[in-house]
Amino acid sequence: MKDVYILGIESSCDETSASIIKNGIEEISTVVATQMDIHKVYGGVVPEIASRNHVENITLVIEEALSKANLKIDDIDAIGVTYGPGLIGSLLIGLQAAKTISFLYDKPLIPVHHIAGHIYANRLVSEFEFPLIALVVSGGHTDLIYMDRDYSFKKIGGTLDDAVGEAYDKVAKIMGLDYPGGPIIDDLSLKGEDTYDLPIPLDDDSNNFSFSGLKSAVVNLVHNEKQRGNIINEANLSKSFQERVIHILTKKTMRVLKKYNVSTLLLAGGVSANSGLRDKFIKLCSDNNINLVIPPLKYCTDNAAMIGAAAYYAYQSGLQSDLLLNASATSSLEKEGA
Amino acid sequence: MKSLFIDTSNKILTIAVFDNDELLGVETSDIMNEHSKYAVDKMKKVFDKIKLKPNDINRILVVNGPGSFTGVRIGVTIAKTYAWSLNKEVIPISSLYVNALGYSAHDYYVSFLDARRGFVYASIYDKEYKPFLKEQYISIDELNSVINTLDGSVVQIGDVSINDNETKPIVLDLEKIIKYCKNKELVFSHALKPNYLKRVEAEEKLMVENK
Repeated sequence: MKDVYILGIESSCDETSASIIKNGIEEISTVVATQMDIHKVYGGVVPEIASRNHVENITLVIEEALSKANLKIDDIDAIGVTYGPGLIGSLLIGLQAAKTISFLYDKPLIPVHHIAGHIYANRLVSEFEFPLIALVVSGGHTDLIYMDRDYSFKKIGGTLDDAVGEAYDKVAKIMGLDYPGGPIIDDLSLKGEDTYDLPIPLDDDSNNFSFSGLKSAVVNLVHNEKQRGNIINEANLSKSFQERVIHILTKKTMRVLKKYNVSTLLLAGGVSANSGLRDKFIKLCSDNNINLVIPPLKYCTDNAAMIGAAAYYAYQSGLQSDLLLNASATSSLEKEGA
Repeated sequence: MKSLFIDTSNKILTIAVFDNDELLGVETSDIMNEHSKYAVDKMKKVFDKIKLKPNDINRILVVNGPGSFTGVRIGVTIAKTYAWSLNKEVIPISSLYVNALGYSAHDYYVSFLDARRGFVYASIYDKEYKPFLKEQYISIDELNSVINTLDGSVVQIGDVSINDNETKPIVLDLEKIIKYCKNKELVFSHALKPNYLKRVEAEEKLMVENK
């Protein structure tokens, strides 16, 4: 069979990225222009600044991905682009570039949901054994997704308020840590003890999560301690917070695997880089005979390799868009269903 | 010499193709906040109508601001992707300038676009469309004090009311635009970027704090 090359483009938040993926499983080249240092001084991503940087980077990033792969646009079979969810002004840049190339070179345009991308990042390192459950944990998502075949997504649980990564960032902010706070809390927790009395969030029979109560508990605790003139032990607070998060994520995920009689678990999204979360899942999955797939760290943050991989399977399942494709800040993964 | 003109900087999206100074085809869309959806599709429609291929174009003229930040980025991203991927020439042109070209037979053309909170992006051109007041982010009060010093016939073109004088709507004169803009300075495709005339608010705040 002829090889299929996909040009993936991603610009949903603060990384401008392009990638060439062969047959949905092989990463030929990936370029990521990150703006992390630009946004650090603001304590979070400033959407307008992100959009301005995307415009300046977009063609350079695509050109470099092609030249690293030693390919021309003519050699590409289709273009996959993140159309949502994400920051609308940021999404528009990758989208316009993708639509323009699709028109100029008459190549199929494949719309990719950002979370489908995070899930399919795992396809670059492992086969998928269906049915499977994917736990998507990021700054914008905390979702349990059931898949019984390629590019079919059924949401079986998710956060009712804050996403887990959002809670990490907010907790880091109140503790006065740098942005992005997730990795810092993860590092600190390795040196700390679980000494602070924090609630376990939404510890019920549902498949859903809630992190805003836990976040508020940390905020109140920090305020109260400050008022009393007590110094916060950052490592211990990080450990205590992270333990609650990991406890509830692993508990509900393992229960869902059992309930749906599924023996493959995928982790996906930025928070799947969290070492505490990885270690706990590795142990639990090994104890329970679950086949665990974890993305390599380079695929945890936003990148176009995962978009190119997802686009291949979307394309195989007949998903394609015309030039009227628009960006969508909030779009449902389930509607992607093949 | 075939030229493609792209303007996504204001409420009406315009895509036009010229052969030298002759207009071959044009597509517009006035659906608010939907330029992202329609721009590339309209471009395809123009090409299909006049039976031209993307590679037949020699030069792209794109309005790169000032104006709606998001709107301007749409046109600029399309233009730079086009210019880069098919190795075409690209010329950025000012929205205020093309809007001024829509009117004639005056001594001064006051061209401005709403920048909100009592400010506009504005420029004043003389009767030969040479800049008299260079384009800038300026308070409406300050702009009015400049307008009051103008001697001769003055026309105001914009998308917001700034004083008691009549403000004419933005109407593009495509033939005039190509005549006046086709030989403006080219830029390298990767270096093409919007001309915002204004920093991001978060940047401004940070600069004030750091002072």
